[in-house]
Amino acid sequence: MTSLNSPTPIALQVAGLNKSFAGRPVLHGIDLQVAVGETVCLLGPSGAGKSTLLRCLNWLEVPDSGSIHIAGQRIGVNADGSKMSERNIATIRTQTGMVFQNFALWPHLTVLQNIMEAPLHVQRRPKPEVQAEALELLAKVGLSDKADVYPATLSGGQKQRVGIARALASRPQLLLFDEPTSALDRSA
Amino acid sequence: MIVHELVVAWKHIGDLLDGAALTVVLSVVAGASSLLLGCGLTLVLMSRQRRLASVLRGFIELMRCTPFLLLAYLVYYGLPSFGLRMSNIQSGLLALLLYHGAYVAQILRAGWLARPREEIEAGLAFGFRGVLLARRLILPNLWTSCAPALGNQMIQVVKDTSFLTIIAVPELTSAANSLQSNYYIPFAALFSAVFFYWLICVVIELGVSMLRRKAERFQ
Amino acid sequence: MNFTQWGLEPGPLLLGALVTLGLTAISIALGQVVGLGLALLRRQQWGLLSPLLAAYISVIRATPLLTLALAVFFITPALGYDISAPAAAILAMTINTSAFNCEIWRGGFAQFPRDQLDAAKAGGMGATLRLRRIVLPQVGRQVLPLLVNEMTILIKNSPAVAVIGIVELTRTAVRIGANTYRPLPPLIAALVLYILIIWLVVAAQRYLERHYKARLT
Repeated sequence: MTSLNSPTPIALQVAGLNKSFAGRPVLHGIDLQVAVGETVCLLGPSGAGKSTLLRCLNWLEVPDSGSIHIAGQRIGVNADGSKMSERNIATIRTQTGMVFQNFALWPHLTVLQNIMEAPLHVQRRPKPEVQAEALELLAKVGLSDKADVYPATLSGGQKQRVGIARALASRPQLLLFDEPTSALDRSA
Repeated sequence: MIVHELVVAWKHIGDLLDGAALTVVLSVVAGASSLLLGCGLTLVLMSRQRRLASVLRGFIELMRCTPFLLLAYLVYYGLPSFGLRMSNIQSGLLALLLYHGAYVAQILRAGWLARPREEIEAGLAFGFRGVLLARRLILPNLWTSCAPALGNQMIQVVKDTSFLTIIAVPELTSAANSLQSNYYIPFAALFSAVFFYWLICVVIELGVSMLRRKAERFQ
Repeated sequence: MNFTQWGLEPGPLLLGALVTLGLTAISIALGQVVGLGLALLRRQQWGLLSPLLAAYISVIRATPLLTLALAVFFITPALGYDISAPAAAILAMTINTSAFNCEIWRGGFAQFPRDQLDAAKAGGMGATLRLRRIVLPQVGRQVLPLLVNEMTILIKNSPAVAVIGIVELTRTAVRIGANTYRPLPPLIAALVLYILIIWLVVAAQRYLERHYKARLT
């Protein structure tokens, strides 16, 4: 319930988003608002543009027009309308976490290293803190015993749980789930 | 007769070993530096530096059309025109570095493009970019996946050191040639050289298969 | 066009290019036949032949062309036969390129789908017929780019034969530069000529590919 006096903080604000691929419009005037703590599900038939919208949110796809604000900060375009630098886009991306359809775990790193990678090397947080938090997240998804194992040996469901822990590790303002269960069977 | 030749060759094995040693040193130095140069070239090729990348692409295409010995001559005889005088060994090393650096860049670039897009996107999504993204998330896998092709390229480096005989670098083939002409032992001298080259290649191939086996757990 | 002013001697350069072209063309042609022959021999499981061939090919592939040229040129007389420098050059280049061609064909054979072979066998086709009409045309089409790549590699390695006295393109360019005290112009001219020769080979490949494609439809 939102109070009348203090407005609910907005984690994500999308306005007038348009995206076409080779002349074919995929996103057409999308407006969306997600409050902090809110969960939004995008449902739709295959090809409707769900993945495209999601990938525009962290600028993995570049929309043709419209604006996207993450925790009040606009991504991709500077205040004066010019193209935002890669460095600034990357900085804003640290505020988001993404869970991928095909897990996208880094194969040369162990499960624990996968989770610690972004907080350690992008956010540059101290290692003891990052490690403790990573172990905690790993426990939360029920994979504490797989900390030093390489992703190649995990099942699909386990990989996805690691993916979730990895996304949570950078303490994001916004969590993006791109068809997270489509590669899993019913039991996972 | 062959036995006689081998006996004579054995007496002068020191010269042959000196040549082999120089071949190994040249190969290691040229090989390692061309891997480094190739890596650097690939980083630029895959970056957003459009103009620099085009220039480098042109350089790589040029290296692919140039006979190595011709490049060595261009470096050895051509650079003095620009005031840069180098010894024959230095010219040879520079030619090897430029030539094989270009080929390594090509191999790494092809391997990079062949990697699953999602691993790179996951890196981007978490705020990785540029050199950090390449260094921590792309290159480690790239080296292992490109290992066979890179191993072949290193074998090429070893074989190309033989061209330096012609600019009087005393490497293995040069030593074998001196031996065979001075002591009339063509069989022994040249078979020994061939044996050494074969040995060096076997070592490189063993190294590559060791790397592949180490990387197996990541698959 | 005043070539001498630019430090070039077009006559000798073109002659050098012809020497390079001639020697490599012959070696490439012979290398195709020998290479395919070796690959076919390897397919037969004739006792000791396979491992011996494998060892031979592995050694040849590890040997630089220059060393091989020296070996051929100096060992042949020791065996009692006279050999001229051009003959030795052709022999060395053929031995070299046939080993690589053999491996290319072997790779192609290994990838060839077994069921086509089985279908041919079931249809009563004999081994030679199978080879000629089913295997070779298809594998040939597939390995053509690799064979052509090997041809360009041989052309780029051909300056090695200068060491046994052949005055080919690179050696000519160096000689001109030594005479005129201007080493760069002839070297660059030689580079242009090599690029031309390589381009010719690649163009021939494209023509052959179009010819094959036409026969499919």
